[in-house]
Amino acid sequence: MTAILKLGVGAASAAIAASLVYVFWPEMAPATLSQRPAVAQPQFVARDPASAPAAPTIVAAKPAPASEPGSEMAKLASALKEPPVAATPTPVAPVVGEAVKRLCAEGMLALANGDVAGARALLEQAADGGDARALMALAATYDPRSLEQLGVVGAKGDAGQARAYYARALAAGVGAARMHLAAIDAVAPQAVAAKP
Amino acid sequence: MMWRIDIAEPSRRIRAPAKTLAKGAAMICRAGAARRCALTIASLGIALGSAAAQQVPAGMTPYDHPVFRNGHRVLWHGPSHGGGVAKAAAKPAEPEKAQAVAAPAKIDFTVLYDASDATAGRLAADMVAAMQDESTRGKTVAGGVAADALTKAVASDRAELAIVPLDSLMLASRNPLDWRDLAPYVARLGVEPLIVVASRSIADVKGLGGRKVGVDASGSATEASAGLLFQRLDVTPKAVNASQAEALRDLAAGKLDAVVVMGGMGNKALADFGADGKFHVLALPFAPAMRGVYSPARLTRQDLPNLIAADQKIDTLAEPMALLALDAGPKSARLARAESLAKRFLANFDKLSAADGDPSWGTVNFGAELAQWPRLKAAQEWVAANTGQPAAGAADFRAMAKTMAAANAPIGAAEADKLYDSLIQWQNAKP
Repeated sequence: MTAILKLGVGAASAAIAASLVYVFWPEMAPATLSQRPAVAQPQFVARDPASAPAAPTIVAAKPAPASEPGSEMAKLASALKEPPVAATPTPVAPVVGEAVKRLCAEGMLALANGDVAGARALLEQAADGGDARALMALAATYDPRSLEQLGVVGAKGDAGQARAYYARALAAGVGAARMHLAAIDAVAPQAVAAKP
Repeated sequence: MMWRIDIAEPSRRIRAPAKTLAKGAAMICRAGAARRCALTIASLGIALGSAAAQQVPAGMTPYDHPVFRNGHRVLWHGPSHGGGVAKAAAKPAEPEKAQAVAAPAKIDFTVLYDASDATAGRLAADMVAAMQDESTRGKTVAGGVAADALTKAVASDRAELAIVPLDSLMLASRNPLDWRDLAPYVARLGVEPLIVVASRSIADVKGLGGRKVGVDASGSATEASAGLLFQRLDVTPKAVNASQAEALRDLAAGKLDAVVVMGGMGNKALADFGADGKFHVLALPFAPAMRGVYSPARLTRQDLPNLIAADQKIDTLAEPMALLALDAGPKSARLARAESLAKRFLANFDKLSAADGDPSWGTVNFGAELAQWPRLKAAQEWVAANTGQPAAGAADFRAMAKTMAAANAPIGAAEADKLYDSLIQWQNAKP
């Protein structure tokens, strides 16, 4: 059974390789000779380690007959047009309305003015409205280091809450949150990831 | 109990023995001159009492200049709420030992809060618990904290500190008295939600026009806040003065259409209300007129199970509160005492923000200021001494916000972008 599978995988790989060679073989006619990359969007070609194991399985399950080169090319072209399978789902940024952006701006203004309670209330509504940036600002209202640097006297912050908001921001596609998560884990590893 | 001794009008404490003396004299002098005789002896009693009153009681501070209240001269001030009396009565013995051990000065104090405001009541209780120790006792007192009520509180030496919603301050500033001098603030506190409970037949706050709405007792902070709230929303209900409990009863009976409740979190009467499902909480829009004073708040079923459905989120408004030092203007004889209490509050703040305290303590920033309202000098100095220099990135972020606020231009998406860029630049530069 394993041998059959191996044979199938081998055959499929050979078929794909042959198809790729056929598709991307440069034509020698002077009118069409070009330095344009064969794949306009390199990310389609880039290998994702996480998605690698899935590819042979799919190919092996449905090996295309080598006698139908036209059909193989159509499938390959179709596959190239489809978005790649990502290791982690790329967050789709929701459309943030003007009112939500305004709430976010007012929340950040309140934070800059030292109004921690007002800032949290405004930013929470902006975050509920889909503004991922509000999550970063919210995290700052809880981050003990941010409060200290802002000159806040009194409120000490909550590393657990800050971590939870940084995590939400990261999940929403704000890459800058990653380093802050690491920083909190380094300073306050006991911070429990509270659910905001 | 009133501790001020008033010369022009004998206090009850002096009048009571005077009456006793008069009765005794009437028994002795049976003739027609008995009444005159009694009055003479009574007058002597009053004089003796007054002479004794000139001896400043322990814990009291004499005024070093003539002070008149309600047309009567006041000689000194100090603990005025019975705490000192009770303790003095409780520990009368061992005077020699007390003299030998230098006991710290007693700084009894009282924190005033709005009687219907459960949040303010919790904050006041937290403050007293954090500030008092073996030598200093404090207590809370419920009362009015709107403009007129605060005027009375200042005049009657009823409390040293008061927890006041910002709306009350705004109304107080319109009072003929110069409130900015009379009651400087110690700190800006957290926020509390404004809750409007209405019959389900009223869909939104605009529907309250012409309807009967309970706004708590006359002179209450709720009345002041509700008045300003409806004015800003351009809604004109018929305001009905009734205590919160009475108003909720009337609402249940259909005599009122809605009730305004301030600081309703943890309010048992409100938590128990509306189990029949006939009432709900009205949303209050964060309209442009609300910006600057209020902030948005969101209530869920967890906050008020009887009034909010399981999947519902009610957007309402939250009002900031402030801690005032009463009768602590620059020229007040009570200033030193107020400063001492303010320092005690600030120094013990960490106890307040601990796990047992109200969650809103975790949002208090002593660096935040109230616009157009003076801060108690001692509190200002304490804050300055305890505030670190903001980091460079944070300073830039604050400067940008300040520039935007000064421009007084509408805030929108472009401002959000700029502020966010500045925020991230600061955050990423954190050591």
